[in-house]
Amino acid sequence: MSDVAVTATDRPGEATRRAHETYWAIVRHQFAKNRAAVAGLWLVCLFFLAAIFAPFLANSKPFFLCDHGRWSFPLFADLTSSDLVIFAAAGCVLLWWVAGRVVPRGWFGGHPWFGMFFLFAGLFVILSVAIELTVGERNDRTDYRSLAGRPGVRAVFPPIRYSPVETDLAIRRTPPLRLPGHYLGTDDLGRDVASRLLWATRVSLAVGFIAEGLAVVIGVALGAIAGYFGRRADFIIMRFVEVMICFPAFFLILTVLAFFGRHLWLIMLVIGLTGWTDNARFIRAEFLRLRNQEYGMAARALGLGWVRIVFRHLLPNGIAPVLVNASFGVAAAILIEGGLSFLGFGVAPPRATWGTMLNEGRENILDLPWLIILPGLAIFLAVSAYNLVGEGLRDALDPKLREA
Amino acid sequence: MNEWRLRDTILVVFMVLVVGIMLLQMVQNDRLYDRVNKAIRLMESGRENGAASMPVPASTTQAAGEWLVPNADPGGTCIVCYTAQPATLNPLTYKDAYADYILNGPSGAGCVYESLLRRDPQSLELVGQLAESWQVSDDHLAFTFKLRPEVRWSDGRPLTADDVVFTYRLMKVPALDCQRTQVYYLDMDKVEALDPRTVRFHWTKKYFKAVEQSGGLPIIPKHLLDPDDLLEKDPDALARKVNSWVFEWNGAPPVGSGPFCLESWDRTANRVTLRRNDRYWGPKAMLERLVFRFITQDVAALQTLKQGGIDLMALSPEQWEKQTGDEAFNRSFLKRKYYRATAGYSYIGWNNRRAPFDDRRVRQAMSYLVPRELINEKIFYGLQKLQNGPFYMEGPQADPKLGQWPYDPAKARALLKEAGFADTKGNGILERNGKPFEFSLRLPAGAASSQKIAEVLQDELAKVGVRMKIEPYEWSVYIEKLDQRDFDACMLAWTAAIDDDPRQIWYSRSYLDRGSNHIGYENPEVDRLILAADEDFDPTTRNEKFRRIHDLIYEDQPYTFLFTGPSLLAQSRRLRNVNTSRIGLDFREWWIPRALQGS
Amino acid sequence: MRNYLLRRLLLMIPTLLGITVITFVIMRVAPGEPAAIARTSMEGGGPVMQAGGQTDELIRAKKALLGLDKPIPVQYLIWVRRVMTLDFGESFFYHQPVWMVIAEHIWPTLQINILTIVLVYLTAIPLGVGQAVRRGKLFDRATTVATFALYASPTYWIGPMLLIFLCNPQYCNWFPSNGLNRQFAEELAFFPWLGDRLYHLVLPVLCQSYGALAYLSKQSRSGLLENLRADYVRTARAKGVSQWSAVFRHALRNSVIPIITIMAMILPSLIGGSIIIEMIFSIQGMGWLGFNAILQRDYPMIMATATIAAFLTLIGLLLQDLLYAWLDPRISYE
Repeated sequence: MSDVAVTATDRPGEATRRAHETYWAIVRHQFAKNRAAVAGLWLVCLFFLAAIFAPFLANSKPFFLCDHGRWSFPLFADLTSSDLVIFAAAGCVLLWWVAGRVVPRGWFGGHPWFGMFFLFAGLFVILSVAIELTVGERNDRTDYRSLAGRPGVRAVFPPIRYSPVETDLAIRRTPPLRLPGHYLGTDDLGRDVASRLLWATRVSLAVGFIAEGLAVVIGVALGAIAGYFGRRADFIIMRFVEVMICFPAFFLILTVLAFFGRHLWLIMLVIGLTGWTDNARFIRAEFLRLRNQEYGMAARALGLGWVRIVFRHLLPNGIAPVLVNASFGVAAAILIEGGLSFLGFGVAPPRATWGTMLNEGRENILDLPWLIILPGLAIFLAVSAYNLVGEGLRDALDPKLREA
Repeated sequence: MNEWRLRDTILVVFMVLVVGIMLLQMVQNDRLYDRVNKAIRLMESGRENGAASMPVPASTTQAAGEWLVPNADPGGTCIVCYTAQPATLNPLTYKDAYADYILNGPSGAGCVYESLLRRDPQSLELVGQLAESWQVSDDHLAFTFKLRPEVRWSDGRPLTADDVVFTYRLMKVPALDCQRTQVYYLDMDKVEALDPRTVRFHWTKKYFKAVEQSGGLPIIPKHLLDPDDLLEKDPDALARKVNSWVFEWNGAPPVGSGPFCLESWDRTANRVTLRRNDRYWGPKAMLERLVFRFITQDVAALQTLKQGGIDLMALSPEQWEKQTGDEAFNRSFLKRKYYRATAGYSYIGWNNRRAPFDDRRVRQAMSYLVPRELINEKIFYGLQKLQNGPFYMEGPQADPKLGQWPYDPAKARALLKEAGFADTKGNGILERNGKPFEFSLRLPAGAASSQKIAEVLQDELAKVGVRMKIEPYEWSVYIEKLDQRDFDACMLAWTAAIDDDPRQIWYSRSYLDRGSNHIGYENPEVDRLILAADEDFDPTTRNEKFRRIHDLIYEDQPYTFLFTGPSLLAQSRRLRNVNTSRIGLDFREWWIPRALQGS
Repeated sequence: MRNYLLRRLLLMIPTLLGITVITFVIMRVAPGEPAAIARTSMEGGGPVMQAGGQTDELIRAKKALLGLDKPIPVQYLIWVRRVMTLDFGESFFYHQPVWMVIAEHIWPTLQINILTIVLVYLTAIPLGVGQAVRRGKLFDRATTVATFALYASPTYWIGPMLLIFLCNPQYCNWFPSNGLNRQFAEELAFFPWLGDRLYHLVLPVLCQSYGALAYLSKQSRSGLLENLRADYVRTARAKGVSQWSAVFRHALRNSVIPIITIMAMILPSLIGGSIIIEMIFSIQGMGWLGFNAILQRDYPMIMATATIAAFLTLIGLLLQDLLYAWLDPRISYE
């Protein structure tokens, strides 16, 4: 599957590494030529930025406040530990990517990104533990907006000056563009819709990624075991896969959520636990095929341990269809979470997710149409973005679609 | 060798079409047969009942056969909309309020079935329905009811004391699936028929509501359900048979003694149909047919109303305020608002046995922080009434001198400070002894207005420095949490009764063993008053005790009492004589002018 | 082949048992008892309860009535034994045999699903073929974008939007907003009744089908494209076969294989109603039934729905593999 591009001047050990990179470089090149897929990728990045920087985009506290010469930074002071952990995660991912390009090849045994993954994952874990331990809870309910209106006070606010949870019954149910500052109107309790949509991006993306990540990990692990060890392990795992397929998944998720409470982590867990079967089947098929190919046999003949074989040789080649499916899986997870919230099984209030906003809109369909149109549009855009990326990946990985 | 040609496709499609048309034809024949069968059955039952009907005894003041509303046009069909289809229309085992409304009428005045006693809609006093008179023994332990001589079932048979005895004895069989009712009759140990028109109930404990309960069950026909006296020989077998009685008994809808009879229940069309009982022992109802439709989405229900598909429905505050009231609507419909004494109230319950809500000052502070006026004005458009205690505010049990608990964040802060809470870390969150003031409010999922109130409260509490988490639970899990007393704060609503007994909720022993005192309220003075009131048969002194209980509870604020709601109705103008009273509506009074009966 | 069939059928048993065990365990482990469902109504926007005790003794009596007082493994075995005779028990909520309740609720779901399937197949395949044949042209591009947009739109967004704009006297009041028939419809003769029923089903069927339509048209398009590029088609064209004939006689038949195998999975989906659509349009079909069963802890109903769905899925999977083997001579199971 990989194009082997060996040049005479390369050292023998380098050949496989260079070949592997060339393969992914080809994939990247193909992907970049697909304008729709690139647009999808940009949209995904936009959603990510919105999710990461939500506190800076919609907040009732200003970045800084200068009250007759006294400076304060309410927004920064009030960042919660989860905000900071998200920044840490984003930072670590960024550093990882940069290091992967910058660090010379030889340092990490041939797969710089893969190797450094553990380094930066560890860094992230240490940072988040440190953050959780040091950053305490804060509850700052000063009305900065009216404070900023007084003479002698200067403040710079984020573009949306409302937090997603502050209610204001006096202005409930206002349509978009009616009140200054509330660009997309207010909901049934007077909360700003734009702010809620923005902060809901966090939940939806988190659910999408973590649920799908879990599904990928479980699916790849089980599929690898089934495909590599074959025979009995394969049999047992395939029965297990069958059980999971036959289970009406939505039904199972609803049952678990109804019975055990509606926690965010539970939603992610259950969506992940019901979505891994496709990944397992892909990896199993790939492994069954690859392990009997020449280089698989060669590796075994050389007496390499299974860990090395699986992680160094089989997995990088077999991972492609899983990546494609993962992108669609994220979209599916977002849709499922929306559906659950729509039925009333989503995260507890007042946390905003697109699905819970749709649920609220459903009860007031004729009065608050913007509460149906806007969150649905957000879900539609997010799902489209991931679908575009997924299709782009699929086309990029399909050798028959490449022009030579 | 055998290639699939186009003609093969055509042949297959043709065969499929033929088979399809044959099936459709069979279905159509089936429906015709069905209709014919139904007609035959109706005719037969009519003939049979006609043959079996007994001669009607001499009439009393309001003659049987007369109409309830003189000079009104009889006939017509009225369609009422309720939010949920009941699971069963069994008068003993039903679990939801809509079955109650259909079988016993929304005001308990009898619809399909009747009870011995009912409440008068104006005076709210107990008056006889099936019973002509009743006597209370001196020791208040035996009640003797005399049935009206003219009462009879819709198939013409007379209603006798045997039916009453049968009903109560069957209800007490443990295998019958009506535990919630049985609980009220634990102290009633004997029911006997002294003669065909007289029933006596024996109770082992004196209780001021014993008369009402003795007269409260809907009476069911013994001659239909138990002609062979199975209750004596094998009560469990009969109970099991009754448990699976959902609508039809032995293939036909059962008879009742009320002004309407059950005619049909079409589950897939979500419709129950009643028709007038032409053999009713009293003045007959005016409507020919009464249909109940069950539409869960209120958006859909309002649209159906506007399209003429239903005649009466309950409106939500939004619908009352925003979606009805334009000219087109007012031309055909009328809006009615009334407050029932049985409406009950909603509340936030604080777990009195768990810190920090075991401290009265904290509870009072919480009550100061709920902006009830604002919530009522903005979310409920001013339609609800504020509640300040456990009794019907306009009844004799409530103390009229008490005002409403105000919204006063300053007082709340002072009380919390007094209780030992302060923002020691300067992070905006109140603490006491190093622990931050955080708690979770549990409420049933799907309760939209409770959730809104909770979210507003969450915001208010955050301004003061208290963190509240909202935890919606699905209904059966929620009930379990309440029963296990596993909550910091809960939100719910109670229904009320005319002569309410606070023992269920406020007596300290009701905290044990799944009683309704979830919050663990315990006030020795209240306990003493409750026990004294239980055996106080003089309404004046009894109500005095209740008023004192009201005062004490007001001071203790074990709940933050929220609202008591109105009944908001939208009614088609073609319905006449829809009277609203403090106990609800009465279907038998309604009539439709002949000219409008056609729809 | 017969061995394969036998083996697959035998393998269905442990799978079914596994599913039933998992469902059973989840239900029993969960908090909340059917015995404790109190008398309530949903007035005033929230549940209103009647005060008055449940006592522990009454709960125990109720549990004994429902057969819930025995230990959990024993309950499971009792259930399995009854299911062998196709007796799914009596619903706690409806007090009727489970199969009767299911029979009442299955018709709306069947009607919607059958109409959806017919609509989807009749539109998706020609659409996919049309796209493949006109690859790269405006038709292909426009419809690809349209189907892509449809695929990404959640039903719980499109459904309420349809209600807002098409069932609303303020905009266009073209369709009824809820239910399956208008008032007193069974007094109509058959064909008017049928027309009324179809009229009510337009929106739900539309909502349910657009997603499948998008997916299936994409499948048929890519399947046909693959085959159009294949050698044998080029050979046929080189031999002088017309474009139309090449597409329909040769390429289409081969690309229809994956589509037909998808049909095998229709069997389980026929009975599974979509909860979301049924909630939006107030239809009481199987989805609504299963959903309510979960909320009411109606254990016999939950077990019955899960078991039937699982059984049909297994049959569907088996059918799918068999169809593959029959249609594609390259595949054989020996």
